[in-house]
Amino acid sequence: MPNGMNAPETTLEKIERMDRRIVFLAIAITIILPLIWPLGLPIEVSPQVDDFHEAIESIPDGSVVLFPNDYDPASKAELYPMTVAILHHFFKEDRNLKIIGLGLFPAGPPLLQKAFEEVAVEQYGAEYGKDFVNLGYKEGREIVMASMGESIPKTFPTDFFGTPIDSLPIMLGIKNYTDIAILVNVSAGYPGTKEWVQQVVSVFDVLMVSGTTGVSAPEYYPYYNSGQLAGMLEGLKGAAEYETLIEKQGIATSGMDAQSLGHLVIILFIIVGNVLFILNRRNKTKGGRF
Amino acid sequence: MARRSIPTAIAFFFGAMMVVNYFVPWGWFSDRANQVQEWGLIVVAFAYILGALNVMRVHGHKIQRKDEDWRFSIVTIITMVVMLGFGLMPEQWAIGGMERGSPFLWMFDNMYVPMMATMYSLLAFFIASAAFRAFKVRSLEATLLAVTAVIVMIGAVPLGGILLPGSMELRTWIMETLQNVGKRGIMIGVALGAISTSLKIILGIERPYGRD
Amino acid sequence: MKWANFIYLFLLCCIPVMGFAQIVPEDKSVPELRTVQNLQVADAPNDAGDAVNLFWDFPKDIDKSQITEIRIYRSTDVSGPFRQIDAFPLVTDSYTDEPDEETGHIVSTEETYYYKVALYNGSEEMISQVSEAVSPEISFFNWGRLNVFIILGIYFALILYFIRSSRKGKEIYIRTLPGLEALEESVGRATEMGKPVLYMPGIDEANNIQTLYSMVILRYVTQLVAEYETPLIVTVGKAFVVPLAEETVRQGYMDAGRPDLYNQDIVRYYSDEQFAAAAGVSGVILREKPATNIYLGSFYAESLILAETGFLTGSIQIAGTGNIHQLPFFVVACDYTLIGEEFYAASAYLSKDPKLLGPLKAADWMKILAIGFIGVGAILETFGIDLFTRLLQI
Repeated sequence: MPNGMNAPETTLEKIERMDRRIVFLAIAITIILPLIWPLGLPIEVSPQVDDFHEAIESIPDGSVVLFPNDYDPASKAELYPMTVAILHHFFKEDRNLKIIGLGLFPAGPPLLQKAFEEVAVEQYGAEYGKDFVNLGYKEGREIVMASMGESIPKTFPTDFFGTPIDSLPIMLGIKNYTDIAILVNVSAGYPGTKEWVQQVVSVFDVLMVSGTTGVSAPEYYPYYNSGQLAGMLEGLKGAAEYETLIEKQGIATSGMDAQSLGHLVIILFIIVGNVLFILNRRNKTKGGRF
Repeated sequence: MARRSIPTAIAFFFGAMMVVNYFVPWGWFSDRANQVQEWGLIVVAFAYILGALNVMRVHGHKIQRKDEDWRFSIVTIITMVVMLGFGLMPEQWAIGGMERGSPFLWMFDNMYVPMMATMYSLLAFFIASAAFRAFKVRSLEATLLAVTAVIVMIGAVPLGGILLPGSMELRTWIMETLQNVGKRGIMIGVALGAISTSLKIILGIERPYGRD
Repeated sequence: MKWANFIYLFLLCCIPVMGFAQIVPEDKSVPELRTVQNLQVADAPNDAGDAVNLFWDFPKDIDKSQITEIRIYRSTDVSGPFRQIDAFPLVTDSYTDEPDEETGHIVSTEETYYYKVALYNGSEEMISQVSEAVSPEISFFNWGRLNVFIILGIYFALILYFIRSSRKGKEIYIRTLPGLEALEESVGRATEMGKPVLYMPGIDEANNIQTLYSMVILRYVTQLVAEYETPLIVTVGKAFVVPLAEETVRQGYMDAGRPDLYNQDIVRYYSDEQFAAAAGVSGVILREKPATNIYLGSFYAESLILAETGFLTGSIQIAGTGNIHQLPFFVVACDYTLIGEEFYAASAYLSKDPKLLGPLKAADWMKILAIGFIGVGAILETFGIDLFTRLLQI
């Protein structure tokens, strides 16, 4: 080759520097196809999900459940399936559980209300104000949690719709955490699981389980290991495992097929990318062409 | 001189008061500190007006000058005005309020929520392209990074447990133990840096405000 | 008649016998509720003199499920009258008497208080003995935070020492930070290409230290672009940061002697919503194709979206954040990343000002101290000695 001229790009080099839209297309196909044609890949249930399920099973029929959903639309894809699956578990066996929902993210309560309507009302005929209630959003984070320890009605005098809660049958006799059998938290970050554990479990010794995003789950392992959290759901995988346990396959299970294949495709790209990288490097040092 | 001293003095006074409030439980300090925090909330609320004016001004100028893609600026301003308008309408009006059935909540459910979820889901594609580009075995450290990433990705899905038995447990160990070690070391450094920067700002050594 | 007398006598005897012999009815009365014991009161430590702690014990064989409510009574006179100040269903062995703005309840350092605790079981109330007298006292220092105070004191002393020694001419070594070295070079690249420099000071509020610190670096970057007359775009994700950024940019141009180059459209606000801001900034990157993107501040999930979009357009990217969970995304997608405290070293590194280098050195020494504490604590804990850990606990 004359001096100053670069050798033309080899085929391998072209593949290594391929248009990233090919990667995007591969990911899109891998994710969309299993959502349309579920593969039904087996789902192994982890111990923390099993414990989550058992904790809810252990509370007596007719118990009151506090159900804070602390997330916004950005985390909906990962956490909404969890909310839906948990609601199925609450209402599926006619255990007469009373569900008190709320949110410490401003955009959380509308999502929770949507889940209540889609699951509790449409599929199980539950009645608002009698079987479940949405207390809405309250600014204050840890202060709200602590304040509920004194009085839930004082902290949330009206519900999501502005109705005084002392006019709702479900709230009769509910004062504070002593009236709650279990706290089931679904959270995307702050305020969320850690704050509920610190403000409520540590002080009032309430039974608590939590569902969180995959990214933030490792932060809460110490609480699960120490017993402060009786169970944990970790991201979409946790939701899929939970759906398996309650035998109600939903978005999370079909999402798991997509997530499994998506991960595998990314791993494949990493491997192929590295093989190409090594081959190209060898070609350059040996002066060969492929 | 006054232009420099007065902001520095104000920053020092309020900064020092907040630090002292942490150590001195005397009611006078905590009351003043709470008051300052309330003032902050009020000021932040007014800042939203400034933000909205900024949007109007920047996009207004774009439309005026007919800069590239100026039509999108029209869309931006219209959507901002419409959303704001419906949000401010009193509940008593037929199209006001934020309850189920209101136009505001309809726009929230059918526009805002899907758009937020869409932007978040872009991460899946970008992670794939970033992983393809970045996880190359250029060195020992890069190799370790690539191998760890592969193990964590395999262990994160049910299929991984079938393809590579033990990957779920290995992933849990990596996430709970290995990565926490590095993370906590960096956290200590970040915390020290934040304290040092805060002290510099309170003492006026660093001045992200005022003029020289 | 003997028989009649006998029967009469027999009947007379039967009546009391029947009275004693009747089936003892099931005891449906509420079990006797006893009261709490050993009621102790004490001024709440480390506070503003507005709280009193109460502690008590329950009798050993008490059935706590009988207790429906615990009531707290208070008086300023040992002989009363006692007024109920609180009641709660939680069966606990402690209580803190604190002011309540809503009810107007106060706890004053000028009073002496006496307390009683009552257990209520739905029908009767068992009240304890009167407690000892207690007067709340103001603590002028929160002794529970003494360890933090000492450590901060040491840090502060180190900062002053190193500032002083740096001013006296002692050289303070800082290792090379490629990200900061590349700052000027990347601005030059933008100038050559005729493209703007994009600067984003994070997506968090102005009260976040990272955002404030980013303003310091923005001023420096503004001076650089003013020197080269390179267009600058500052994208902001919080309304409150807009006036801060505008003032910083204006000041930067003035410092460089080029106030004519400043215009208000340099600072662009998108939205307080995370992904709306990310979408807006991505749009700017794709349309205006800046040659250099600088992300310095607090970022969250949008970090990879911004960094990858910048990579797509071929920009040089320099990123730095104190949010550890976003560092991997920046490391993977950006050309240069300031990891952790390297971000906080930027102003000192760029200016070489002794006043700024001193705190940097002090932070290094504090890290050595932290490593020492961790090592000692880990070894002692391994042998079951938790004294060191408890000393450092808040």
